[in-house]
Amino acid sequence: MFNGKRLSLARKRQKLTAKELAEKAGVSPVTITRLETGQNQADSGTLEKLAEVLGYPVQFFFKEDPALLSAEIVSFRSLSSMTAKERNAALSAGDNGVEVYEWLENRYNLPALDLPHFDPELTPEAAADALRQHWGLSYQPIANMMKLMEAKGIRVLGLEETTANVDAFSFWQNDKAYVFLNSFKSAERSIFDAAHELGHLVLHRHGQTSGADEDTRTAEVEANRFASAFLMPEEDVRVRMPRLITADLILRAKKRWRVSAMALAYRLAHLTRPMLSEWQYRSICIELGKRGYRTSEPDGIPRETSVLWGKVLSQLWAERKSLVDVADELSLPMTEVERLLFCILPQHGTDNEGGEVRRSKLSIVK
Amino acid sequence: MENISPKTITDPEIGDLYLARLELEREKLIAAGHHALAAAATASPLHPTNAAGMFAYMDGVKGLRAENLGGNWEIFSEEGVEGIRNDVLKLRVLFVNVNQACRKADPRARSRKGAGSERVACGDMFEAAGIDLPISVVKFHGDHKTYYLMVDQFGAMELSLPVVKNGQFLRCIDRVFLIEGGDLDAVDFGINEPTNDPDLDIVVSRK
Repeated sequence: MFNGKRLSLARKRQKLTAKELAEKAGVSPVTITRLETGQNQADSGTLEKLAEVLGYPVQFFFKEDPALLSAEIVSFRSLSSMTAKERNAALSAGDNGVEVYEWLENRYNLPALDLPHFDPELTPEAAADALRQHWGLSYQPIANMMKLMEAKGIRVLGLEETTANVDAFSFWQNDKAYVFLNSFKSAERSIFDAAHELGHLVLHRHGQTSGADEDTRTAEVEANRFASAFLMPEEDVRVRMPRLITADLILRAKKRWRVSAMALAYRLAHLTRPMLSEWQYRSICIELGKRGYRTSEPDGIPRETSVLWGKVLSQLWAERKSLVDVADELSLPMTEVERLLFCILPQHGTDNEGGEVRRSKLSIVK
Repeated sequence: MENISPKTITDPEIGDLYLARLELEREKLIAAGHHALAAAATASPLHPTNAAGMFAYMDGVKGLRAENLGGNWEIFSEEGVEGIRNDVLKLRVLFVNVNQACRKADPRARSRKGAGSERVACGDMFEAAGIDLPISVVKFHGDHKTYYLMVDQFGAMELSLPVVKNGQFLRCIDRVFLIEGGDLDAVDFGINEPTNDPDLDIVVSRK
């Protein structure tokens, strides 16, 4: 039976309004509305036209209801700069991502989720400490943030959007934790994004924030504080950093914690007992800005890639299967599956050292 | 007539009490010194040879002001001498690069002090008297005492009250050691970069 919610998902994923889709498919806007609300069934001619315009297989529109993520359960950071179309497209990517992971879980044994509930009264810093203890990480730097999350059962996927307005995001769905990382950031900022989203999963599981005004901004600040404390434990930072902190020193030291220079400077200036005064922090930010570290991360570290998906693709390859088979089984466009894995898999022939990932063919690296 | 006995305070607690009477804080003075040291570290081999000292002076003064302004402390700028002043306590604090701080010997300025420094640092009264600094009996008839935040290139710092004469510090009346320094560039991060944790192996198997 034709599923109008699927049509709505595919349309939003392609950033089309009902009117725009109607024009491209040569039908009336009312037809689209009636199809999406389940008042009408699509005839085969209309269906084929819609499938062609949207680039989705016809079978996609006959699957059961999608997850239908909403902006309320997804933590978006830059809501103010994001258009409704961009937000809906990202949410639809999330819907498809949930299905890709469900497909995976039905066929493979994956690491179980190990993300305990913490007291919601914990500060972000205390929660970061508690999670480190629970995972037995002591105060060492995190060697590979994406691998750590995958090992603890968090489902990580990529988000290849064509705009910088859409940040990484995360959500809980049926007691499974999802994180989507975008490809617009440097490797260091992507690691911070991952820790930021981990913070949302830990701190805002039920949508609560601890701030006086329980709004999105408070949640974002809390997630940043969590990420900062999780990636750069105060104890380790205090032991490692000398008293005199210069921009040059920060550029050396950031490699230990695998964070951006700006993130380390911020951490040093915002410890309970700051290691940089407000003015020193300001001066260092200006100096780092002059050297280009405000907008990018020169001399960056290699981008983290998904260990889990690398292994899955290797197994698929051994079974003579590829992403095309995955897409076919899910009735998803091949490009959609690629986009979900694009920025989290090792890239062939791309700049994997720090800067943005540029689109290229996906390949399995053994 | 005021009896003055030169004293050197090395004990942090006593030093902090001394600083509190001046409405100053050790951490803020050290932070100011770090402004200077950080600026000196930006001098490249292509800069003039005196760049490190010049940068340190510029940012040392900036640091003094950035970290300490507020309360009764205001900007002081007179006759080319720059720093901060507290008109309630009749104090000034200036910045200076010195050869070595927190040692037994009194610090020496790394560059000659100008006439303005000499005038504001109460050297005038000795010069006027035509005598070297008397140790036990000194009359301060200037309206402000002028302290210097003295910072050496190894990171040692002290806040001291010197007499300036003939372009150099003659002797310090009071010295408060702030930080010994010596930990600059002591950290090697290269050997401690994180490595992959084998305990985090991800097992994926077919059902």
